[in-house]
Parts: sequence; structure tokens; C-alpha cells
Amino acid sequence: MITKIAWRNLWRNKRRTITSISSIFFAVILAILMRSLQEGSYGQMIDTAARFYMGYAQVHQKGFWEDKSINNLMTDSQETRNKILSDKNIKGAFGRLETYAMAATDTLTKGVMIVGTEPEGEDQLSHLSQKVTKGQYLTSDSKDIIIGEGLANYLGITVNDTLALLGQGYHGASAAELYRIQGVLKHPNPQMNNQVIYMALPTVQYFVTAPNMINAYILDVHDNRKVDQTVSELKGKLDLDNYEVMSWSELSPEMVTLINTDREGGKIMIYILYVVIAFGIFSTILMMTIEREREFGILTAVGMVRRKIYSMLLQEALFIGLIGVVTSILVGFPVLLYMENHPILIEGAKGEAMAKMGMEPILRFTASIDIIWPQALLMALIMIVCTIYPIIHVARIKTVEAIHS
Amino acid sequence: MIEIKNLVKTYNADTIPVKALDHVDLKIEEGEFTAVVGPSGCGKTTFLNILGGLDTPTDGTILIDGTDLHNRSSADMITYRRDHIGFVFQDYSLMPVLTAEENVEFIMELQGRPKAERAARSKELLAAVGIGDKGKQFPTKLSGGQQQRVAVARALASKPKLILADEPTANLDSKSTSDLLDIMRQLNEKENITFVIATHDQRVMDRAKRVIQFDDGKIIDTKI
Repeated sequence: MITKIAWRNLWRNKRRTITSISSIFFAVILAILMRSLQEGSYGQMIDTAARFYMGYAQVHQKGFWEDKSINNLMTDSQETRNKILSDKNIKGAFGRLETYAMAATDTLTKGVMIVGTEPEGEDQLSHLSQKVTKGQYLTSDSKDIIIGEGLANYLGITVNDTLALLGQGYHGASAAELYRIQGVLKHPNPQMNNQVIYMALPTVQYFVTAPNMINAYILDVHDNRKVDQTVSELKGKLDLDNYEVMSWSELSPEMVTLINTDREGGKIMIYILYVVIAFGIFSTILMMTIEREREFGILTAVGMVRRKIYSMLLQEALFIGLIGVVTSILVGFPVLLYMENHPILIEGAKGEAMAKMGMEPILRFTASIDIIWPQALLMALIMIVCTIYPIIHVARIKTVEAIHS
Repeated sequence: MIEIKNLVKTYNADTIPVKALDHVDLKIEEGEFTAVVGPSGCGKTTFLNILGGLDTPTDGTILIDGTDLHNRSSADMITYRRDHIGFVFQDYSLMPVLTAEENVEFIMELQGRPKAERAARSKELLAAVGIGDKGKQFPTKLSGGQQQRVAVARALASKPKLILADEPTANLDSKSTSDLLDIMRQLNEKENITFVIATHDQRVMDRAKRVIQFDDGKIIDTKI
């Protein structure tokens, strides 16, 4: 009956209760949207970074990440690929062999990064073929190369010109060859755009005299939120004496720091919003308590122990919080689901600037229960904290004075 | 039996002391129907508050069936009131969010009685006070007289031996007052429940078995 009384007490002053519920509703909706946009933008940032180049995870020979040397390669084995591809979240895996060399024309030289890759797999991850502005994208048996637009401009070369590459091969072998340029691409990363050369994997393996060797498997995933779980599962499948498996967060710890810092900033904004709301709720609950002092006096007079009055007050507060949170979730979650599937397109100069930086010109939202439950928990906590002082107030009520007040 | 010995209640003892009760001695037998009368500020309400365990005396004792009423902790006093004393207030003081039946059941729920028993006794008590058909009504839908009958039924819910009523007829018209007094007298006679009623109302005094007159915190007259 205490619960029944608490529930009915809420509706003694409908307008006040609805106002309180509304403030919670809008605060939680706002918090959910803010967090969803924040997490969506992080997801977008991770996707962009992964799709630029890094992949969502990589498999290397053990120790490669600590010592990124041309001598620290591993054999490209079908068995290892099969083990990687057996994970349900793995969408694709392809081999890469990276090395550095000196690129020379008849008048200019420049240090370049050579990426030997499987053109089809690379294109699936980073849509590299769409970035080719002149000439043709690579095929798996291409003997020719494609180069970054910045590099082409610097060296003053274009499609069908020849470029000399000079570098170090596997285990001290020398690497030198002339290559025809079959395409020029505009890489979204300016640094890469100024120094990258893409080749088919067998071509670069031949260049460095390392047949069937690679330095990484680049992994694409179906669900980027499950990367850590996928990495953990892969660690269980692969021989960790020979391999290391790293997620994007290990490959790019600076991005993790950036995201975490920004995330905490966003949370602080939400906490400030909640503090403002909490004061409103506190004053409502306190008012609901003070105006019923006489009633509480009567209740203790007729034999209701104070503990039950405290319970009643707490339930009233939790009901207000519960209605506010549940309605905000019922309304907010479908909105988040919609926004997740229909991100906001950024048009105009801002959108163009983002596209130039290689970022999708959209505001992405994430609909995840992990965004919602902390808001519900926080609101429950606020309601409990807001009830503490009113309970203390009731504890101090003297029955006889309250009855005659 | 209630035995009141040398009861003193002083307010503002530290500044300008006001004696609300001044060495009151009284015995109230089980099954009495007693009216406590006197001018405003004479100590009637203070007397009722202390007798009901709502307030503590400055001095003196109240023995109920030989046990000191105030020799209890605050929490024990609340449960004692719940189980042994019924209260009827001038303004009825019903829970506005509960129906008449629920108001009566509420006290029994506090006692932890089973739902079926609560429901049956609630109906029985409301019928006994003549509003058996109003059980599902909320207090705001009832007249003052009907609300006071619900308050009496609520006071009876815990099967107390003592009912304290503070000006129960002050807000009622003549008919409602007369009906209420009939009900209270009937309960007093049938159930042997002791009633102590603080009142200004001559009609209550006329129906009381004993009238105790207070003035300046003292009993100045007792009529049987």
C-alpha cells in the first residue's frame, strides 16, 4: 500500500509532477543525443583512420611493431589466413608489405613509402580505386605502380612516366628497379599523398627480394564495436609465439587518448546539465515534503513508523525519475536508431573541407544501450540523492507540532 | 484502566514558562465515555496529546493497565499507538489519496494483517458507522460527517481499547454530530471501548458519561 500511496501522491499536483518528469525527460533525451553524437563521431573517426590505411586490426610477426624493419617479415600462409577469416566478425584480410626507398626522376629524388598490397582487398577496405585521379588502379598482377598526387607533382611526373626506386631489400639485399606509373591517386592523408607509392604485393616482394613475405595482415570487420572481442578471439586461434594481433586502439594509442579526453569533456557537460536538473528536482521533492508535514504528523500519530514514510518519499522520487527516464528512452531510442541510419549530411564549405581532409561530411549517431543505461543509472542516483535531505527533514518532524501546524 | 498522576506540562521552560497542565490527577476506567471540556488554551488538547503518547509530560506519569505509557522509545511509542490507541481529529485527517476502505485498511496493513482480513474488517467497520456504501469513495467526494465516520472507522481498525478524539464534531452540522455521537456511544457500549473526547460542544457533553472541566491546566470540576 505504501507504493500505491506513493504513486497516487504524485498525481495530487499533476502539473508539478509533469513538470518534473518533463525536465528529466528532456535532460535524458539531450544527454542521450549528445552521447550518441559523440560516440558516433568517434566511430566515424575510427572508421576513417581504419579505412585510410590502418585497418581495424593487424596481424604481424611477433615483435614487428616494436621493430618495424624490412628484415622482420613473415611468410604469407594460407593456413594463417584461414584462421583469421574463420572469425565471424572478420569481413576481409589481406597482406601488405611496406618498405621505404628513394624515388628518382632524371632531376629530382625523394624518400617514399612503398606499400605492396593486394589491390582487391585494399580497395574493399579503403576504396583506393575511387581515389585514382589519373590512369588505372592496380590489379593483382600489375607490374606497374600508382603514386600519390603530391609526390607526382613534386617529381613532375604523371601516368606512363618512369620512376626509379632505390632501397634496401630483405636481409641486406639491394633493391633497385624502374617502374612505369599506371595511375595517380589523391590520398586523403596529406602526408601519405606526398610520399606513397602503391604496388601489387608480388611486385614489391620481387623488389625487396622477399618472395611470399609480408609484414602485416590488414583486417576489415563487420562491426567495429566488437574489434577488441575479435582481437581477443584471434589471439586464441593464432600461435602467439610467432604472431602478434593488434587492434586499432593499440596501433593508434594517440587516437584513443584523443577520444578519451573528448569523451570525458562531453560527460562533464552532461554532468553540468544534470546538476541543474537535480536542483529543480530537489526543490520539487522538498516542496512535496514540506507541504505535507502535517500529513506526516498524522501518519506517525496513527502508527506509521518513519521508516515507511522515508520509503514512501523515496518511491515517489524514483517514480518521477523512472517515468522521466522510461519515456525518454521510449522516445529517444527510436530517434537514435533513425539517426544512426540517417546521419546528418554536412553541406557547403564545411562539408567540402571535411571531404578534402578525407573525412565523410556527415554527423553520425550511434544507437547503443551502452549510451542509455548510464543515463538511467545516473538519474536514479540523482533521485536518491535529492531525497536524502527531505528524509532528514521528515526525521526531524515532531509529531505533535506537525499535527497542530 | 488509565491512572494519571501529578501530570505537568510546561512549555518554554527555559524562557517564560507556561504551564499547560498543572498537577493533573485522574483515573479513567475502562469503557468510560468522557468529555474533556474547557475554554480554549485550558490544556484539553495538551492533555489528549500526552494521553495519546504524542507528547511527553514535563512531570508525572500515565499508567495504562499499570504500565507507564511514556517509558518507551520513540519508535516503540509509534507502534504502541498503532496497536492500542485510536485517534479522531477535528479535520478528519484522512489520507486524500486513499478511498474510505483503503483509509481503514491502511492501519491494519501497518499492523501486518492479511489482506482478506483487512478488506473484511474495513467493510464491517464502514457498515458499523453507517457508510458501508461509500467504501470506494475518496475523502474529497464525502461530506464532512461522512469523512468523520471514516475517521472513526479508521480509529477502530486496530481494535484499540482507547479512542482519543479532539473536537470531533467541530466541523459538523447538528445532524452529523448527532449521528456521529450515536455511533460512538454504540461502540462504547457494545465494544466497551474507552472514549476521551476534547470538546466545546454541548451536545457531546450531554451524551458523555463523565465531563471533566479544565481551566488553566487544572481539573476544576468533574461531573458524572
